[in-house]
Amino acid sequence: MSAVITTAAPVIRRRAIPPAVMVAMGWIGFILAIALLAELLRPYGITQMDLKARLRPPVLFGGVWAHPLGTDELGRDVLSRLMVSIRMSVTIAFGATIIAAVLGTTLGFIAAHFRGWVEQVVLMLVDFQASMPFLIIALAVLAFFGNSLPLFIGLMGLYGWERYARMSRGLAAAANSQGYAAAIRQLGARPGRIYLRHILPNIAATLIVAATLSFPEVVLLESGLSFLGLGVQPPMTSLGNMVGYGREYLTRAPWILLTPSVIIVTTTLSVSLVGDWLRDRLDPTLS
Amino acid sequence: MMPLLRLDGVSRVYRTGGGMFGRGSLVRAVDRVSLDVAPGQTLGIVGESGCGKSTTGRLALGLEAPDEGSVRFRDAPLPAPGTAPWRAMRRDMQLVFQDPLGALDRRLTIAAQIAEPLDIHGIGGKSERQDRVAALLRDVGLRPDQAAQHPHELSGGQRQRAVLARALATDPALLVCDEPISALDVSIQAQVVNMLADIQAARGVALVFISHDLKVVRQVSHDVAVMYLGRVVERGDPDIVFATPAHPYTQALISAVPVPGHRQRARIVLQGEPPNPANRPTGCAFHPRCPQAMPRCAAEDPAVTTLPDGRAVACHLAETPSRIAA
Repeated sequence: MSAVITTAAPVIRRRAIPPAVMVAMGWIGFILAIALLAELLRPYGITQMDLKARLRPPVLFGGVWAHPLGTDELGRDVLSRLMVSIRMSVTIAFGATIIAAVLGTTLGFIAAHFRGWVEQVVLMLVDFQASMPFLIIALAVLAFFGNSLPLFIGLMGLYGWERYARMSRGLAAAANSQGYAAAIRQLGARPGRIYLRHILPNIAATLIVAATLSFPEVVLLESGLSFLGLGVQPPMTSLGNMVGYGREYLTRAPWILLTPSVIIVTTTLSVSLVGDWLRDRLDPTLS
Repeated sequence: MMPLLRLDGVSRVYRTGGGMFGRGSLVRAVDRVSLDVAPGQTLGIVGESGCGKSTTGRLALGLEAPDEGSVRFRDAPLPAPGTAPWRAMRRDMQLVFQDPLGALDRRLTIAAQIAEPLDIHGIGGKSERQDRVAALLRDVGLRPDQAAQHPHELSGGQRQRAVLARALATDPALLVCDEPISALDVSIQAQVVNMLADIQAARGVALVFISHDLKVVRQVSHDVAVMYLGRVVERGDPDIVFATPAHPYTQALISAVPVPGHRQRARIVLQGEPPNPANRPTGCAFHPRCPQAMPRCAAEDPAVTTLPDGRAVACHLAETPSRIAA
C-alpha cells in the first residue's frame, strides 16, 4: 500500500474566546433578553403603587420575596422598574449609537469622496458639533420641540457622530490617495464598491471601538438628561431616570439608586470588553 | 505601426501652498512630455526622485487628466477619470504599484483580490473565475495554496506577484509599472523583472516601466526616456542611450552606475540639488548643474533635436553634434 501524502489545507484555527469576554457576552445577552422580554417578565406594573410597602429593602437585606429588589418611595417594585428601565435605556443607547455611527461614517465618506467644498461643509459641521457642548444643544432642542421618544433617540443619535465622521474621512482619504482603495479604483470599481467592500471593512475595527466607547457615554448622557428632567419623562422610566429620582433616598434606601447604577456599570463594561475583543478578532493581521 | 498609447505634449500643473487666502505657486510636475508606446513593447522611464516619472505614468493611465496636451489610447482620447467609460477602460490598462502591501486589501485573501477585477468587469462565471485565478497564480509563480492566504502572510516578492496577477486578470494591453521592484531586495528584483519579461513575451502586453534603476531599465526596455524636472531630456534606443549618452544629464546618470571590476571611472558628479519645480531655472532647466553649460543655456530653452541614430535630445549641444562629449 502506497503512502498517501496529503497536502493539508490551511487549518482555520479558532481562537478561544477569553473567559472575561465570555462573561461579558453572556451579560450583554442577558441584558438584551431582559430588554426584549421586560413586559413579560416584570412582576408588577411600573406605576403600580403599594403605599403600605414603601421603601422596602431588597430580599437579602431584610426584605420579602414579593419585592426581590425592594420598593421605592411610592411602594413601586424596583425589579419591575429596573426591567423596563433597561429596555428603555438599551433602546435609546443602541438606537443612538447606530444612528451616530451610520450618519458620521456616511458623512465622512462623502467628504473623502467629493473633497472640495463638500468636504469643507462637512468639516464645518464637525467643528460646530465638537465645539458646542452637546448638553446645551440637547436642552435647546428638547425645550423647543418637547419630548417624545423618537425625537429623544434621534437627538441622542446626533451625539458623537462627529467622531465617526472625522475618523472615516481621514481613513478613507488616506486609503484613496495611496493604498488599497486607490488600487481598487484603478481596477475600475465603482465608488460604492470601494467604500462598502473595501474601506468600510478595513476601518470597521476602528469604528466598532469608537462605538463601544460612545455607547456608555450615551447611557450616561441619557441618564444626565433624564436626571435634569429633560430626558425620559415619568411615568416612563429609564436607568438614568431611576438614578436621578433615587438620589433623594440615597441614605435611607440606597437600593433605588444602586441597582440601576450597577446595571449601567456592568453593561458598559461588558460592551467595552466585547468591543476590544472584536477589534482584535476582526483584524486578520493580529493572530 | 500605430502606437498603442500616445502622449502628445502633456503637462500636469499642481498648485501648491495656496490656502484659502494665498494664491500659492504653480508646479509643472510634467511639462510638455510627448511619448508613445507600441503594442507589446516596453518604454522605460528613468530619472531621479521628483522628476515627474510617476505623474507621467498616472497621466498615461488616465488616472489624472492632463492640463495641456492629449493622451490617446488606441487612437482615441482617454475619458475623464471616474466616469463610466473610464472605469470600463481599466480592463485594458493597469497599474502595478511600488508598495505591494499598500496596494492589497489586507483583509481579503489573495484569490479574492485577484478575482476582484473579473468581478468588477463582470468577466466569466463563478467557476470560470476560479480557473482564471488559478491560471494567473501559476503564471506569476505563486503556489495554489497561497490563494487562501492574506497579504501579510506573503513575502514582499510574493505580494508583488499577487499585485501583478491582479493587474493581468483582465488581460490588459498596457501595464504601467511604477517602480515595481524598488521595494524588493536585489535577489527578488531579478526574479520579478524576468517574470515581467516572460509575461510580456507570452501575452504581448505593452509595458511602461518607471524606475530609477538604469540597469534594469536597460535590460527590459525597447525604448527609454530620461526625465529631468518634468521634461524628457533624452529618448531613444536603450543600448545607444546608455552606451553613448548625448544629454549631459544622461551622461551624469550613467556615470553614477557602478560597474563591477572598474574601481575608478570618470564620474560626473552633479553640483547641488535638483531645482524646485515651482521655481524653474530659465532656459534649459539643467543648466545650473550642467558641467557643459554655456551662456546660451541660461537664456534659451533647448528644442528637441533628433540625432542621426534616431534619438531625441533636448540640449543645445546636440544641435551641433560635433560638440557632444562622447
